[in-house]
Amino acid sequence: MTTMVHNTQKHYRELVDLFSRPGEVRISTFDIPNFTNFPDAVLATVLTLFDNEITFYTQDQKNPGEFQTLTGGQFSENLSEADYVVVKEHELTEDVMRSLKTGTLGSPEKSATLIIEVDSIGEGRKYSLKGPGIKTANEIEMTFDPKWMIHRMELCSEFPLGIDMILIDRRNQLTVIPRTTITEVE
Amino acid sequence: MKQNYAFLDENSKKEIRRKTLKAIAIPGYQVPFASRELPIARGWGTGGLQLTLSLVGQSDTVKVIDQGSDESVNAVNIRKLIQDTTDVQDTIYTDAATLIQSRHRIPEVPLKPYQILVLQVPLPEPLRPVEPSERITKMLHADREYSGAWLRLFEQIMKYGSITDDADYPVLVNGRYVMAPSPIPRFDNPKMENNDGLILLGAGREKKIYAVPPYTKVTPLAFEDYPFEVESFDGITCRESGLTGVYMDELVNEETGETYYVTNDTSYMLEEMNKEGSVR
Repeated sequence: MTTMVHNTQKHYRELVDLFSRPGEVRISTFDIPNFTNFPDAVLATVLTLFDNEITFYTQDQKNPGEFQTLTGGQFSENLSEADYVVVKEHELTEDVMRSLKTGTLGSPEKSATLIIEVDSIGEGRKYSLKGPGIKTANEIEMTFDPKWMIHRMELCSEFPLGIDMILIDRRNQLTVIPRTTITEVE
Repeated sequence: MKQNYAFLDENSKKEIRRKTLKAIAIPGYQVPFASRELPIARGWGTGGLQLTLSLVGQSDTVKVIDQGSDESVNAVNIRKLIQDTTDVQDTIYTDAATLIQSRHRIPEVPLKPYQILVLQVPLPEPLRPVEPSERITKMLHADREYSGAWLRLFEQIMKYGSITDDADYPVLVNGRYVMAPSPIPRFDNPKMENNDGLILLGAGREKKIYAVPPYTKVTPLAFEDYPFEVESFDGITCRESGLTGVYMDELVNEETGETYYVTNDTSYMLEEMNKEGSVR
């Protein structure tokens, strides 16, 4: 028998593998009635990580209520205090990127995790990734605008400060780029 | 009796999971977590156990070892608790396990990709011997101010002529954080560097989670003229199996007073002895 408990556990293990191996891609098979505007894999990630101890930010009118009802997570309109920011790529702006919290030198874990819906992972711009978790270099193609990657690099330039990104496409493929990863656009 | 899958309630797991992902994203940094009550006392592997319980799922095969042994009281009881609450498979073979919880050893068999090694940690703070205040050690980590850790090694050289730290020898992770690798022998320190699996460390009493992701630089602290050295077992052979070049326990026969050595990682020894054409 599988229940929500097993589904979130399975999804969490995918996230553990992805966080420890940046640029690898997994497909989420998490099956749940989805009344948000995001792909199932985004909802799966939200259900796995959110509870009443975290604050999140998302733009669409419909989603905050749904996330809140399902997880108890607290919606915040103030981006700079959000632990998790759930957005579609086209909703990203320079202001959004600039407002994200990157933690403090003493507590770098008090930083934002960005959950971004992109059009496609597996096609698009080619990124080359290096850093902890990657043996030599990982290559990944995705339709993600390099300008956001440059913003990310700025936010992550002073390790351990930075943001971690979970990228999810419409076919429920996931990949993770934590703050330690050095990215290059080809 | 009905109980939660993997003992912990879902909110506790969520918190541990969020903190673990942060720990993986910041290699070597000790992420504070709430550390739940468990049916074993703090200081008996509760940090490792909470990590294991937050990770374990139906498709896992679990191995639990304590000082290299699958059969010590601590290992058996932790394994029983995990199995009683999850019904997962167990194994003694490092190769067959997806999730390994260990106290004070990294197995002799190298970790494979996607394997997770969970280490139990009594004292996660490498600067604690030189600074008793948590608030200050946190600041020292923030400032990357590690002269205390270096000075301690230097003082050992001044006093005894060599670095005397045996287990829990401090390492620098990814060029940023000085980390206590848990009381594994120096012999196991090089296994952390560039290894294929993920290493998670949990300190239940001290409420900290930290991690070494795969393929991460892990350098033991050492000086140019006093380089890092592992325990030497040159010329020593395991009495039971004839193995050499592995971490050994030194034992004394109380009747004859004779000193002898036995391989510490018992499942590895068994595996080697069961191989066709094994040494013994």
